[in-house]
Amino acid sequence: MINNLSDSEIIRRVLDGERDMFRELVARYQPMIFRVCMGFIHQKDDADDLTQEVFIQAYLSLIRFKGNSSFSTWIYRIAVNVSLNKVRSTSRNFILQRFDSLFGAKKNKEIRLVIPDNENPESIMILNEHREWLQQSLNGLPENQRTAIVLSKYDDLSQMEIAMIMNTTEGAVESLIQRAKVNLRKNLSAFRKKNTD
Amino acid sequence: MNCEFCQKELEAHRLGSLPDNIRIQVETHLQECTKCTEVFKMLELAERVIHAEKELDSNPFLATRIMSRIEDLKKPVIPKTPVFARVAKPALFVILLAVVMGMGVLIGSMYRPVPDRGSLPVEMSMIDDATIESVVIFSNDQN
Repeated sequence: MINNLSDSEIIRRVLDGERDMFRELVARYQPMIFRVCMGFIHQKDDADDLTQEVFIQAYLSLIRFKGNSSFSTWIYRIAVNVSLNKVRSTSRNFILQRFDSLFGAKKNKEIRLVIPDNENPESIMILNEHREWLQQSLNGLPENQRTAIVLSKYDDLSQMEIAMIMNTTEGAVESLIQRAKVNLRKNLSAFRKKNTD
Repeated sequence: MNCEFCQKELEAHRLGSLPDNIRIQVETHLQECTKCTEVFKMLELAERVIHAEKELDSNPFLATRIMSRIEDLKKPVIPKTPVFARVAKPALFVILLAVVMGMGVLIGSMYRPVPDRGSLPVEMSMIDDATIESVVIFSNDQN
């Protein structure tokens, strides 16, 4: 029954005091938002926390949702902003950690990628080796290129949907994705070269 | 085919969307060029990492966690204080501050210096500060 309700109808009922209806919105959008968070953070536990943060922020701002765009576009925007903020704060912490390590502080434990069960051990090893390269290559991209490539690769969104989320034109998104791919290729090659030399 | 052109087409080659003539050129170049082969391998691995991350599911209890956090919140609205309360508090503070300052100025302006009389009274001129008066005069014992 609830499944048949539109997003706007659910939002109206949540705002009228039926807080439990928000669970339906969480159920509908949780997988997509989690994938976006994974695309930015690459750690499952952090992505879980970030997904939770996105939905809490969405709930608190629900009164300001005017319906000018679809709910999915609106919540994707929140997810991108929350993720970028997290990435920025992580980068700052990373710099501090490196500074600490100069003075002999303990290094953070290595976090391994959680791979689905259907991958064989050899694949897991190879993927874990390359995960960090990919992560650093993605981190090296400018924020708008990174957002475009994450939305495109992790959530398979069309250029039109990405354009609406990023509040830009389809042409601009196409250009961002192309430039992101070129930069990603360069970054990956540079990492490969650095690690094989 | 040069490396730059080949690398530009690697993504399409991986997806199998190249026309036959270009696909053959890319494949031939990949057989000869180790650098481009390395780049191609890296792209394939990057795609596999992305695919592996996409396959992960979020915590099954996440929705419950979110709803529990929401239960702790009161309403899906940012609490709006009434205009009167938002304006009255700082206004009252400013008014009180102005009153206190005004009273300070008023009290300060009430001071009037004692006019100079020009000469001392006779009693004052008889006081001799240079000598110490005997304390005996303050004693109850009059003997």
